[in-house]
Amino acid sequence: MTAATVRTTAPARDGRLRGWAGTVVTPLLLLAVVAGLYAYLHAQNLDDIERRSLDRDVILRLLLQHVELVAVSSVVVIAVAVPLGVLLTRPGLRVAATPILAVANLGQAVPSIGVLVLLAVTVGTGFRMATLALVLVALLSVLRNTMVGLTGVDRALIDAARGMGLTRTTVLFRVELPLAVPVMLAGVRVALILNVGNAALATYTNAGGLGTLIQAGIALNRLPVLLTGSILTAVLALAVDWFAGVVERVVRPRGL
Amino acid sequence: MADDDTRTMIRLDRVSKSYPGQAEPAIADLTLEVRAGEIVVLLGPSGCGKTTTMRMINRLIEPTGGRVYFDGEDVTAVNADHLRRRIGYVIQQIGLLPHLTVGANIAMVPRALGWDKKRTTARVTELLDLLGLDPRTYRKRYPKQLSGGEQQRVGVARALAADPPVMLMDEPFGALDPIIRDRLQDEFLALQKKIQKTIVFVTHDIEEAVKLGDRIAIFGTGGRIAQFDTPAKLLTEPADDFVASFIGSGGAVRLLGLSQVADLPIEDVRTVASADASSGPDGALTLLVDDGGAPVRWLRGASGVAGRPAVVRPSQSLYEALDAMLAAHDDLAVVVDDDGAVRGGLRWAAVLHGTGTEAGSRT
Repeated sequence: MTAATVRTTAPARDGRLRGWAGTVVTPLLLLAVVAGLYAYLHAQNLDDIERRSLDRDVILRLLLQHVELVAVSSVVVIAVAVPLGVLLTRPGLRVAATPILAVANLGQAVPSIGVLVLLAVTVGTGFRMATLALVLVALLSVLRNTMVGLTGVDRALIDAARGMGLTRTTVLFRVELPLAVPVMLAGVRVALILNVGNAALATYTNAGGLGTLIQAGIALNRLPVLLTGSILTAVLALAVDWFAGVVERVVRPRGL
Repeated sequence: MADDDTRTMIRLDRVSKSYPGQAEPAIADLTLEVRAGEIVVLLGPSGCGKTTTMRMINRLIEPTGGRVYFDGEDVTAVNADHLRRRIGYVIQQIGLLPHLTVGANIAMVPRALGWDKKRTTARVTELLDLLGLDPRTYRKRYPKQLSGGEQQRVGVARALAADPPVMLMDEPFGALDPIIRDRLQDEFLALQKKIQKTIVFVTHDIEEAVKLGDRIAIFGTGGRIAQFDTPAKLLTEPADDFVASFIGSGGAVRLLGLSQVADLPIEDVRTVASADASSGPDGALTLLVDDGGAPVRWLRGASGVAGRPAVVRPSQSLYEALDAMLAAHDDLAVVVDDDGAVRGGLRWAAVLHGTGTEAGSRT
C-alpha cells in the first residue's frame, strides 16, 4: 500500500498514525531528559554526601522500590475497585452506590500525606502500610470511572441484548464491560499517576522509593540530589502515563 | 394450511401490569390472540401501554397478573432467557453492539444457543443475503460504518438469526427518514411473504399500521384495547369515538391504499398499432400502442380528447391509481401487465364503488 492510498482510505487511519507518532515521541523526550540529568550530574563537582546518595546502585534500588510500590498498589486498586464498581451498578445493590461513593470521596479528599501518616501512626510503617495508603487514595478514581462507564452504557444496547435472550452475566461481559473499557481505563490511568506521585511520600514512613532522594536533598541541602529525585519521579510518572496510553490504545475495543 | 392459519401463536390471557405506588394499572386484564404467520400491529398514542404489552410477551416486563401462552405452551413462569431466544426482538434504537462487527452482532443468539462455527457463519451469510446486504462487504464492518437503514436491516437479520417463529418489533422504522422508512416497509412486507413469521409490531403511526398490519389493535387509555380488527374494518367501522378520533380524517383515503387495482373489474380498450388506423367504429376508446403492446397515447380517450394515458399495474394500490388519474386529468387509467402490455382500462367510477367493499380481501 502506498502512502497515497493510506491518505485516501479513511480519516480514522490518519488519526491513528498521528496517535502512534505521539507514542514514539514521548519516550524519546523522556530519554533526552534523563540524558540531560546525567550530563548535568557529571558536570558537577559532587562532594562525598552527594556521591553516596547518587550512587548508581542506590538510585536503581530506589527506582525499583518506587516502581514496586506503584505496581502493587495499582494492581490492588484495580482488583478491588473494578469488581466493586460492577457490584454497585447491579440493580439490587444500586442503593448502596451513593454511600460507598461518599466514603471513597472522603478517601480522596484527605491529603495523601495525611492518609500515610495516619496509617503509620495507627497501623505501622513499611512497604505494606505504604501500599495500603496508596490504594486508599487511588481507589476512588477507578471505582468511580468503573461505575460511570458501566452506567453510561446505552440502555438500548442492554435492552436489545436482554431481549435476544442473553443472560445478565453474558450482557455484563459481552456488552457492558467492553463498552465501559475506555472510561475505566481513564480511571486506571489517573490512579497510576496518583500512585507515582504519592509513592514519593512513602519515604516518610520508611518504605523507600525515589522520595528518599528528595527528602535527603532537602534535609542535607544538596541540590543535585533533590533534582535527581524529583526529575526521576516526574520522568517515571510520564513514562507510566505513556505506557498506560499504549495499553489503552491496544485494549480499547475496535468499532467504538 | 387452513389449520395453520387458525393456529394461535401468542395468547395473552387477562394479562395485567401494575407498578407499585401507582393506583391505576398500566395494563388491565388484557387479552390478545395472535395467529401464526400474521402481522398484528399494536397502535396507540404514547403511554398507552402498547410497548409494555409487547415486552410482556418476551417477559422483559414481568406481568403482575394473567398468563402468557406461546404456541400453546404456558410461558408465564419458564426461564425468560431461554424464552427470548425463541423470539426475535427488534427495537427502534436498533441496539447493534458498536464494538462487534455486523457478523458478530448477527451471530449473538446462535452463539448463545451453542451453534458450531460453521453453522453460524453459514446462517450469517444467508441472512445478509436475505436482507440485501452483500456478505463480503458487510460481514466485517462495524455498525458505525453503516447508514441508519443498513443498521436496521442488520437489526432485523440479528432478530432472525436463530429462525424464531415469532418476532417482536418496537417501532423499528420510527427513527428513519420517510423515504428510507417507506422502502424498508416495502422490503419488510416482501420479506414477510417469504419467511411467514408471526409478528407483533408496535407503532404510533396509523399509516404504518394500515400498511403493514393484517390486524391492528388500537390501544385506548388505561391499557385497554379499544378495537382489534383488520385495517379495513378499523377504517370503515371504528368501534367508538376514541378510535375514530385516533384514525382522524382521511380514513377513506387510507382505504385506497389497502386495495389493489387487480381487485377491481377492468374494461376492454381497443388498441391500434398505428395512428393511421385511428377511426374506430362508433367512437370507441382507442389507444395507440407500440410494437411491444405498451400504451403510447389515446387516439380517442374517455375525455374525448387525445393525450398521454394514466398507466397503472395490477399490483399497485387504488391510491396510486387515483393519483395517476388525477395527474393525467383522465377518469380512465390504462392497466398494463408486468411486461408493460395493455390489459384494459380502469374507470374512476369503478374505484369509487370498489373502495371498502373489497378492502378486506387482500393478500
